[in-house]
Amino acid sequence: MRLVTRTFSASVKRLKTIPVLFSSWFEDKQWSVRPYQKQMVKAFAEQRSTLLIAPTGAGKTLSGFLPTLIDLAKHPQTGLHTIYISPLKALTQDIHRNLQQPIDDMSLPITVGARTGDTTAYQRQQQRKRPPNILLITPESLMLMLSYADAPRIFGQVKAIIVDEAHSFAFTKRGDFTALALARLQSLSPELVRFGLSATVAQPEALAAWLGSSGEPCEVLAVKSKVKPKIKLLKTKERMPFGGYMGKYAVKDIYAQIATAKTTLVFVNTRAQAELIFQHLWTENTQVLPIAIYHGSLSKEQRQKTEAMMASGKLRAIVATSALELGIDWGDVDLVIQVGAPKGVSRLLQRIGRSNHRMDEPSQALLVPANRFETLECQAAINAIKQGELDGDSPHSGALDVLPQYILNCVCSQPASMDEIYQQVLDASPYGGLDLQTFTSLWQFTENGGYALQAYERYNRLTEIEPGVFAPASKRITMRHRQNIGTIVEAGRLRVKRLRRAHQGKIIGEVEEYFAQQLVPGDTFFFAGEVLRFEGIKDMMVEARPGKAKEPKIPSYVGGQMPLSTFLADGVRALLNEPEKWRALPKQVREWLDLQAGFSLIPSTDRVLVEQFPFRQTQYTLFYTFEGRKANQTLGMLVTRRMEKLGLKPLSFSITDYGLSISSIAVVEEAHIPALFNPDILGDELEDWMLAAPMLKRSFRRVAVVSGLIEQQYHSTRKTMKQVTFSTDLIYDTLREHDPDHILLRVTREDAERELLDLQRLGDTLIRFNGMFAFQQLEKASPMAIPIVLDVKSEQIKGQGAEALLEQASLYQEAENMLQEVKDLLSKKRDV
Amino acid sequence: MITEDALLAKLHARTACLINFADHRFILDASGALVWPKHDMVVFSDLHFEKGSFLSQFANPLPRFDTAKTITNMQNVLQEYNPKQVICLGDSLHDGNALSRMNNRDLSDINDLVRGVNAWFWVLGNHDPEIPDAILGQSSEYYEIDNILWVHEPENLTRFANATAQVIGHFHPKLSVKKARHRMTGKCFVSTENILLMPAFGQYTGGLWVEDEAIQSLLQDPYQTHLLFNNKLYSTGIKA
Repeated sequence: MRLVTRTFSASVKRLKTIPVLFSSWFEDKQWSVRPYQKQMVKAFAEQRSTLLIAPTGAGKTLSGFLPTLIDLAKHPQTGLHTIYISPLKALTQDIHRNLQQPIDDMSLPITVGARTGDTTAYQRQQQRKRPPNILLITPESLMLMLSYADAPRIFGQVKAIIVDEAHSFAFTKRGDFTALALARLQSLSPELVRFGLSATVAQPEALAAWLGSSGEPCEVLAVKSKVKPKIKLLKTKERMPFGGYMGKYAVKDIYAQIATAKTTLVFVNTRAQAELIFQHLWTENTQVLPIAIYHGSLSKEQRQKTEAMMASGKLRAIVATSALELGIDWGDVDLVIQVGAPKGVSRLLQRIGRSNHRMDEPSQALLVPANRFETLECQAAINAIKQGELDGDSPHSGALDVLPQYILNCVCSQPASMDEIYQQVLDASPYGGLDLQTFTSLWQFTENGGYALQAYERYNRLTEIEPGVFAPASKRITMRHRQNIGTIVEAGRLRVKRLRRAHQGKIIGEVEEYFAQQLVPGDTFFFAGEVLRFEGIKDMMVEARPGKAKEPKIPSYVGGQMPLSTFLADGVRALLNEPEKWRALPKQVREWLDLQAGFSLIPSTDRVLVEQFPFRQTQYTLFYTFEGRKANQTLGMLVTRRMEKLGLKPLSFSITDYGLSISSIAVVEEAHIPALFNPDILGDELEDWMLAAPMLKRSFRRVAVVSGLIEQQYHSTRKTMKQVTFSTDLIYDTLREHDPDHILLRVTREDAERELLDLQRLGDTLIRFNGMFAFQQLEKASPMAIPIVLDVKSEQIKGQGAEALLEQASLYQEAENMLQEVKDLLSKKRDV
Repeated sequence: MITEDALLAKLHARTACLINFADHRFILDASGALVWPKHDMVVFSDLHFEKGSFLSQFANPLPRFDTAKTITNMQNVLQEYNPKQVICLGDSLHDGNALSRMNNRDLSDINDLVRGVNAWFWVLGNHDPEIPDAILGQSSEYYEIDNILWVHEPENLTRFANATAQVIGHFHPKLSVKKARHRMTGKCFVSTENILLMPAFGQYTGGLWVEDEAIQSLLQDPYQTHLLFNNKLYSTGIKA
């Protein structure tokens, strides 16, 4: 690993050891200073940027702040010394509390301030006038502060920056965004030391490279966990379903576990599942245990109430989604239950880590698969954890749509030349390899929108104030930019108002806009732990009344779904191919596998299993590729394209990590497979087909928002996603027609290729398995196919298939009867 | 008027459909236009010219090709049916200043369309309480032809001497059909014994669900819907 070398300024004398004041504070707390905490202090003194990787409960956050506290205790100062970046707003509040403790205990002359989207205008002003010594901030708020003209004054003396939970967002667009902010900070304060805090990750070097500047990765300080978590599969007497993703069958067992443990966290994968499990737990709750629910759609007040109750130990269990995954320290959780597939090893470890915050004792966790297929995934995850294998996002080259935003952000602070900003961008590690030509097109887009859009005044965003030096074209441009900083493109949300009478009631949370829009008055759905009856949408609010029904009519809303990790798909395939390992699986699951073997086949490694069967009025074809979501997604687009050509009338396809499922009107036969699962489908007009797909429009939507083509906020009110969608879809079509080489179309394609497609892997697969398939024509869905065909997320194809369905639904009798009369009318017209 | 063979071909291709309404026969066209063979007449509704340029005044950076595109679509329909008369059922212009934003070419194209037929009627709507003189053709709050009232928003028929039914625009009805776990969505015609709701024809027009209270309160009788989907037209049944 390369050392980061920077020149020491002579005036700085930093302590390399823990001073007495601090060591006695540790003693008072009956803690011992851990070796890596000492190393962090030394690293700061020697100005070595460092990534600390440690399991939860290791005092990671304190390790990050310790050098700062010691330095400030020794050399009190005014102004900003350390910036702490957290991906979660809620985390900054929590950290603020925890940080204030040692400062108060030791009476240190240190000021701390937090700044997030929730900070009041007054506080913001104060923070800019008199910055605190330590500023706790989200990446978006940091970027916003960097856009002000006084940024050099505020940030000029910053000595350290701490990036918390770095693993959770480094290799996403938000990570690219943060890396750019770091590069900007470094240019304002060249002697800045970067600290990263992270849970255990698969590729520490990649994360260290991300945290450092281009070509100068940080050092890695890894703390090994001494104990491995104890993870078990649920043993149940209940009948486990073949399909379904809710895990309702296990509610009795889950309740029994809650009743015996002190405090339990029940993690689920979607908000709908959280609502359902919560509802059923209360039906079981004969002992009236305090059980709460927590997910991102609930109102802030409701969540804070739950957090406070949890912190004071008043709850026995919380049913939660990923909203509770990061950071916040709950103290006394002694059991974590994961309901549904774990989705990925690292995610599972993160969740399990929420229990038992003492690093020397093992965490306890129980996995509850929602169906028999998921048992395989749970077992694969347990195996991987035993072997110490980890998955996780892989580094990628920086997303290009972030750059126009960054360019604008820089010139909002100070007028600048293109080359100046290009050099800074190169310093940010995800953009180290960015070529000047691409940057120039992005610059031009930022300047005037590019060829097709430059006629629009609003896209003239930069103006040349002296040769080569650019500034925002107007105050309005600056204002609009500041309102729209960030990379998180939210699915539109509508607030839910629980009506008591007329239109009066309390806001209890938010649902996705598209979910609300499919509701018809009278529909019922689970929300915030009860069944609500939809009344209508008024003033951007969903109005609903408590419903009398026990079971809602609309079973779920999709909120907060997570993709599975490709890594686990490999684990499942391996497990399937080693029958001797099946003994570890519950009896019910073994029976299910035997059933699959008898009814169809167990997918093998040398042939692709293809199953065909009718299901709920249409025909299904399943390809078990085990090649991951992206490859399956690409395959789905290409195969349906080919099917449309062959007149097989495809309707839609859906993907899992294991395979691809296509629904069609016509029956796919064995003779069709060589033409469908064939390398030459790659030669079809993939580009055209892809560019017209709804999927690409969705990608473009995100790119359009992030790059500033269109704004989510206008006059400080948020636009509905429907408005945004309406506009971006039209712009997308216009650009395709009039300016097909537009930089944003290129960015969209790249985005899609990175996030949705895997041509390379698909190509390899198609060649490897060319002609090597095992086709099974079945009377109904095989046991293994059930969870896949029950999955509702599908890409619909607007083609012959959908038309055929409508024809079935259509009534033509009446029209036929009228034909003669109309014919008569027409002939009369002609005679006149 | 369209020839018999051409109409037959359209019926087979499902780009047109016949209905019986208020004792008259009509052709519904998959473009969203309505055709009345008896009077050699084509009907468009809710064109919303210049909606794109209207919205782009409010931070919606929309391409401004919508008016031109709507005109092209109208040209295609008129070429196919070659009518003597045209009615536009209101909200032809998106707002009072639409004309000032319209480019000259679009304006002259609209006037060419008007000149191409014997009579062109603009029904006034809530978005366009008057049609500027620069646009040819005659305008009125409503027209009564035979026993049918042609109007933008629904009227109380007792006020009219001869009308027993009305054809209206304004609501932009849309519909979603669920079949075999798939959902097909599009604009639609809605008809009862004495009301026919036209889909919006304009390029940038959105829609209101047929199930919406505003539409349902109009439809006391059983109603029939025809869905526009993928440039085709489907009769999607009768609901009580």
